[in-house]
Amino acid sequence: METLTYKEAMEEIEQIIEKLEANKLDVDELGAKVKRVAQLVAFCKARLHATGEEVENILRSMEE
Amino acid sequence: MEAIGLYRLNELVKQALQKNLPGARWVIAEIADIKENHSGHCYLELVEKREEGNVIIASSRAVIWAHVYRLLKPAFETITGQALQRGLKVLLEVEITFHELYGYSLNIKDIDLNFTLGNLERERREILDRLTREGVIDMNRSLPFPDLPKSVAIISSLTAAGYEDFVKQLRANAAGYLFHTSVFQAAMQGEKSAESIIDALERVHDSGEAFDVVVIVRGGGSRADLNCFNSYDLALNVACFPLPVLTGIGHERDESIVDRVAYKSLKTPTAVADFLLKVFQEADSELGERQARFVRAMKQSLQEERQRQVTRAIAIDRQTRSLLERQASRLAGASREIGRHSTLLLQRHVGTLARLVGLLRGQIATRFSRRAARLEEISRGSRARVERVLAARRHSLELAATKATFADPRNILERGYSIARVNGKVVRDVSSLKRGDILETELLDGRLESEVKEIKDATSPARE
Repeated sequence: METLTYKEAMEEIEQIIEKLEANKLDVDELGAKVKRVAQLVAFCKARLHATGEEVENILRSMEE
Repeated sequence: MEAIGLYRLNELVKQALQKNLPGARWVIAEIADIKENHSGHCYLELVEKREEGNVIIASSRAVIWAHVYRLLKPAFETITGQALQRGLKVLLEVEITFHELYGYSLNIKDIDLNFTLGNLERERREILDRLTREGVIDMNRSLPFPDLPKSVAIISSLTAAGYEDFVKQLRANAAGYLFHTSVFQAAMQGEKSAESIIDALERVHDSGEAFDVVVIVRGGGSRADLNCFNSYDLALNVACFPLPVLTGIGHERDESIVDRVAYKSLKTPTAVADFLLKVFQEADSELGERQARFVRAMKQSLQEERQRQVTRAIAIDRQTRSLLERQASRLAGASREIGRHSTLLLQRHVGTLARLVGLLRGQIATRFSRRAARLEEISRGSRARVERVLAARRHSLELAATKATFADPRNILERGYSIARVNGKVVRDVSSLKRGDILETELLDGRLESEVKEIKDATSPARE
C-alpha cells in the first residue's frame, strides 16, 4: 500500500468492479471491497486534488 | 621612389577599389559578430571559414546603416524566423568602401532572405537527419507519460510572460487540481539561451526531486529568438531527457527541432497547462465513471444476493415444511402404533385383571357362601332358639293379653260384670259402704244410680 501509484489504484478498482460485475465476489467480501474501493477512490481523488502532504496522509490512513 | 603620406596611400587604395570593384555585388559570409549602436546602425564582423577544420580564412568589417537596417531587420526576422546573429551564414549585397581613416568595410545594402531560408532549412534537415541517425529523435516521445503529471519542473525565465501564463492557467483550474511546480530559470532568448536551457535541464535532472514532466515555456517574444530551439545540442538534450518534455515556446510557423523531439509541443504556455489539466480531467472523469460503475455493480450484486437469499429462504421454508410434515406423519404413525400396542397391552392387562377379579370374586364368593352357610347354620340354630324363646314369650304375652283382656273393664262389663263407684270411687269392699250411699253402677252400655239399702258381707270370688 505504501508504494501505491495512481495507476495501481485505478487498476485495483477496475479489478474489483470486474469481479463484482462477473459475480465473482463473495457476499462476505462485499463489505470489505466497498471499504477498499472507497479508500482507493479517496486516494485517487487526493492524487488529483491534494498536495503531496495530503496524499501522504491518505496513504497513511489507508495503511491503518 | 618618392615616399608618400599614409593618407595619400589610402586615397590611392580607395581610388583603385572604386575603379576596379565598382558598384554592389553579392557575397556569402558568416556573421562572426554583430552589434547595434545607439543611433541604429548595425556593425558586423563577417568571416569565411574553411569547410574542414572550422578555420577562418577571411574576415571583414561590415555595416548596415540605420536607414537600411530599420527595414532589413524586421523583414529578415519575420521571414526567416530568426535574428541576424552570430554564426549565421548570409548572402549579402555589399558595396566595398574604403575610408582613409577607418579602412576597408562592406556596406550592406540587402540580404537575400531565400538564401538564409534555404540554409536554415538545410541545417534543420541536417540536424534532424543526425538526430535520426543517432537514434534519439523519438526517444522522448517514446517515454511513458505519467498517469498524473502532478510534479512539474518548469524551465523558463521568471520575467517571461509565458511563465506567468502557464502558472496562472495551471493554478486557476476550476476542479482544483493541485500541482507541485518548481522553476528552473534559464535565459529564454539570446545567444546563450540554448546553453542556458541545457544547463537548466541538467539542474532538473540533478535536483533529486521526483518530477513527472519538464515544461519549457516562454512567451511570444520575438520570433527571431526561436533559433536556439533549432540547436542540435539543445534538441539532443531534450530528446535524451529521461522525463517527458513539453514545450510551449510560442512559435507561429514551422515547429522548431526542439518541438519535434519533445514529448509534446504546444503552441503556447497556456496550451501546455491545458494539456496537463486535460490529463487530470480525463483521470477524474474515468475515476467518476469507475465509481459509478462500482456502485452500479455493487447494487446489482446486492440485489442478486437478496434474490438468492429469498430463493434460498423459500427453499429452506419448503424443505423445513416437508421435513416437519414428514416428522409429523411419522410421529402420528408412531403414536398410532403406540396406541394400538398400548390398547392391546391394556386389553391384555384388563383381561388379566378381569380374570384375576373373577378369580378373586370366585374365591370371595366361595368364602362368602361358606361363611353364609355357616351363618345360616348359626342363624338357623339361633333362630330356633329365639323362636323357642319367642314362642315362650308369645305364649306368656298371649296369656298376659288374655289376662289383660280379661282385665279390661269393658271385657268384664261385656261378660256381665259392672263397676260400682261411690262419689267417683270404685267400691271394692262393702265395708266402705253404708246405707243410703248413692251407688253409681257402670254397665257396658250405660250407668245407673242406686241407693244402698242393705249391706252383706261375703267373700268376693271376683276379686283379682
